[in-house]
Amino acid sequence: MSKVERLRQRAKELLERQEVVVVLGYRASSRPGISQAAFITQKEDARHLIFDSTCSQNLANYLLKVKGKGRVAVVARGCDSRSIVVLLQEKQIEREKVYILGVSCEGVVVQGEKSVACRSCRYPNPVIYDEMIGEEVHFEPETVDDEFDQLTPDERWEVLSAEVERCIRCYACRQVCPNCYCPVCFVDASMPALVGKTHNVSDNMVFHIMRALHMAGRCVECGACHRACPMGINLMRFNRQVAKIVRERFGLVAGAKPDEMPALTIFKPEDPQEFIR
Amino acid sequence: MKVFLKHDDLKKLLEGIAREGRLFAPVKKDWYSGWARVSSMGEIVLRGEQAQLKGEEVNSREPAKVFVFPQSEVMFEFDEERAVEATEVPAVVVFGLRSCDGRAMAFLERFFVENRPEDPLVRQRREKATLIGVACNSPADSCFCTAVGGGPHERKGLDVLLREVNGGFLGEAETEKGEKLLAGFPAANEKDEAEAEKRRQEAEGKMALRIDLKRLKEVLDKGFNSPVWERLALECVNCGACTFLCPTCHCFDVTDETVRGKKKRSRVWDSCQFTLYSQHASGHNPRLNPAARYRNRVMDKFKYTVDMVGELSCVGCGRCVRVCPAGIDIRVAVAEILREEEAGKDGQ
Amino acid sequence: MGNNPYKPVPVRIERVTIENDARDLKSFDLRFVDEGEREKWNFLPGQFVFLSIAGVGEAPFGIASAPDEELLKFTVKRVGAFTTALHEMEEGMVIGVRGPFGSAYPFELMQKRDVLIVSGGFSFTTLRAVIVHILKKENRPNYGRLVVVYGARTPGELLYKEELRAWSKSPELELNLCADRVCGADFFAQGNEGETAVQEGLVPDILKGVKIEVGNAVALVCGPPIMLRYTHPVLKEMGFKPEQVFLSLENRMKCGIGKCGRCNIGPKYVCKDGPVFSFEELLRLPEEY
Repeated sequence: MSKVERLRQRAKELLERQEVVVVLGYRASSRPGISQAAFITQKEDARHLIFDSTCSQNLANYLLKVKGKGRVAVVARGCDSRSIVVLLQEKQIEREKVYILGVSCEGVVVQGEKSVACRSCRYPNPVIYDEMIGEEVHFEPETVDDEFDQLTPDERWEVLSAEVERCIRCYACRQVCPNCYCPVCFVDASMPALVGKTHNVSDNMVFHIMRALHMAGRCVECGACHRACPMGINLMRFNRQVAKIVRERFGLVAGAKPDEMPALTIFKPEDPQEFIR
Repeated sequence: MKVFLKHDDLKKLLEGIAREGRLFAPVKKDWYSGWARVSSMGEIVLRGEQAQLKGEEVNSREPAKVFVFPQSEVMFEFDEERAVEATEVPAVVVFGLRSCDGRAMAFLERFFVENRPEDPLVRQRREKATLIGVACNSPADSCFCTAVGGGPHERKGLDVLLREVNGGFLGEAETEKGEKLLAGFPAANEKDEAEAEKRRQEAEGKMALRIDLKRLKEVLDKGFNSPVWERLALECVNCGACTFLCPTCHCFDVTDETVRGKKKRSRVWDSCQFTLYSQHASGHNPRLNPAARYRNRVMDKFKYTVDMVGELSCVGCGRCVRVCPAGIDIRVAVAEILREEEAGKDGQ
Repeated sequence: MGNNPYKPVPVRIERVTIENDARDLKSFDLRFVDEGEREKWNFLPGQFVFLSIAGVGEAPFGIASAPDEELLKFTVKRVGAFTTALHEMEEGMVIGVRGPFGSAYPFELMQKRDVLIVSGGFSFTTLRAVIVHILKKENRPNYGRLVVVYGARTPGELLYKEELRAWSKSPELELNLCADRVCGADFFAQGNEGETAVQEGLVPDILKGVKIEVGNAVALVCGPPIMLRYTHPVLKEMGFKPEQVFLSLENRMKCGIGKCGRCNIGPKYVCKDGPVFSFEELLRLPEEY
């Protein structure tokens, strides 16, 4: 039985036995190469579930939307499962209310090319699941962004400014991110107003850098934001830099180990810091 | 009055305008096309394949509304409490819009200017802009202008429409400004007209979707409380991508900023999809439910603007379909709304 | 209004009155800085303006003064960035105003009829304008009885206390004041300055005790959503038809002229088609307000 067939069968069974009220997965959209999130509530509809390289969204994002409706089954790859771990650690969802259908992933493909986030993926297999659909996969991640790492801070600023100049502040990046769930985002604060709303590279930079920093130790580098951006901004560059610093400084990766809290929520005496001597 | 422009004639005309620094056209920006000031014809990208753009079919990703309704624009600077209007906008020539964008411009004019009181910012910008549209001969799979009362070779909202034929373009003016621009070019002949017609029919033939707009309006008139909205809105993440790239979406926020000691009041794009869009200072929010916000957009495009100014505001450009990060397709939503209503009737 | 509806004109704060003990409700009386500007302003009670502070922003406020009062009056509750900045301003300072916008109360319909005013909290502002307008000597004969039911959480939260005192003694209107809670320490409630009594009770309940000939009456209602919800059944019970009841709605607004989109209820804009709507109109609109 193929992975997809098994997924459909299990989804049908979970609904039939009323073990969950909705199965959160993927289905084909109206256009080739694009998929959508699927909210399967009727067992007959489980046949619409798909799983392939078109599955671009991080489904953990929708877990908060269906909170309170009952027990939810969710299809989770490596990155999605790590987002779920962070949500669990931050007490946004309850473990008993989520039934995780783990699947391995070989990367999202967008318009014929593997998504930049997936090229350097180190977690193709889920780190947490209630059952595994199909086998695990193993592949070597590419090293991406070598060029950027060689640039001086001023040069990096130029590169990033050129990117965020295109930002129209649609917040698609924020809205598709499972770990951006603040009821009032800092960009919408008014007393005091922290970020301007007009088209301004400086304000756009504040938004993107601050969002990346708010995600430090929490961003799983799934690339959903990068793929969501209608203006093609290289958002992975921001996320990857921050995740790299967290990895190098604290030896932690967001959501990789369910019993290891996010980097910025814990403190160890041996954490490197230069302030107190 | 139809004229004929040889490829070279058009090139000369546009180069002349480009030399004055006034020509704007779609150019390659990363992997999609957006508007920029152009200095040479080689920069212009009208079709995706030309510049190896990915996913860009026939109309620029950035909508043409930016020329009358930019993402942000200064409304006033303040001298103490006295408001001083921003300086004059320069005249621009926009080349390469499609008929869908033209129709959208006509809607924006209707909504902002004709519909009193008049918005002086939009009026001024439209007056200063000359819009040269290029007819569509190969619509993409996301295009559906014919389903909403438009077409790939329509002139509405443009100043000039150019329709490509062998050897050049058939040029037709829609406005006085357009006529002035085309003055001096030779009249087109019947052969060219016939060819343009043939291409128009071919282009229209590629768009199979039909929407019963009258029935849709009736269904929407009664369908505010239909359960279909909760279902349709499940995948929606309530970002602003669809609204910002939609050529007719016109909602804005007003914000004051003090920049280097100068106080300014600007307006910026806002989206009915954002939670805070309609939230009162008291905290009360008439559209707290995300599905209510999704419903608001679809209703606005196919019903509210018809009620307000007598026109649909969906022009079938397909941008929202292409950019939605959740893969939502407004055509599917419309079909679902009609199907739900039909099912409701049968179920009685 | 001029030909740019977005452009504010300068006004000077002539008087600031603190309306409640919590000091978060203040009334501002404004005088136009420019000669001849006041004459351009023809408005009727129910309409609103945008008050503006350069570098801070704008917000919409119902006009609390009557058309022939010299100064423009607004009562503002401190809730956010703009209202806080306004509350920090003093007499003599200059701000901006633009308007008037929106629909007024239906004065033509109200001619020769009894007028019932039902209001709660600080929504009473535009209704003060109505009352002052009707009470004007030349206008009074055009209307029948003027019955007012006005309540707040406590007597201290009632606006325009000086005027309420005067009105409670006037034979030209019937004033029924109430508060959710009337406690012993409420200076105003004990009527120490005379006979201004404040009953304990909610507006809808006090309304039930009002006797009015509904056939020849128009009801003007303005209050928080919860008050509106409980007042409507009482009015219905009294026999008011939807076309006789007028509400003044609120919404978040930015342009005031039906362009920015956000204040819509279905295809109607609260700023342009309202803020005054008949209940009959509202019944035809989606319940999204």
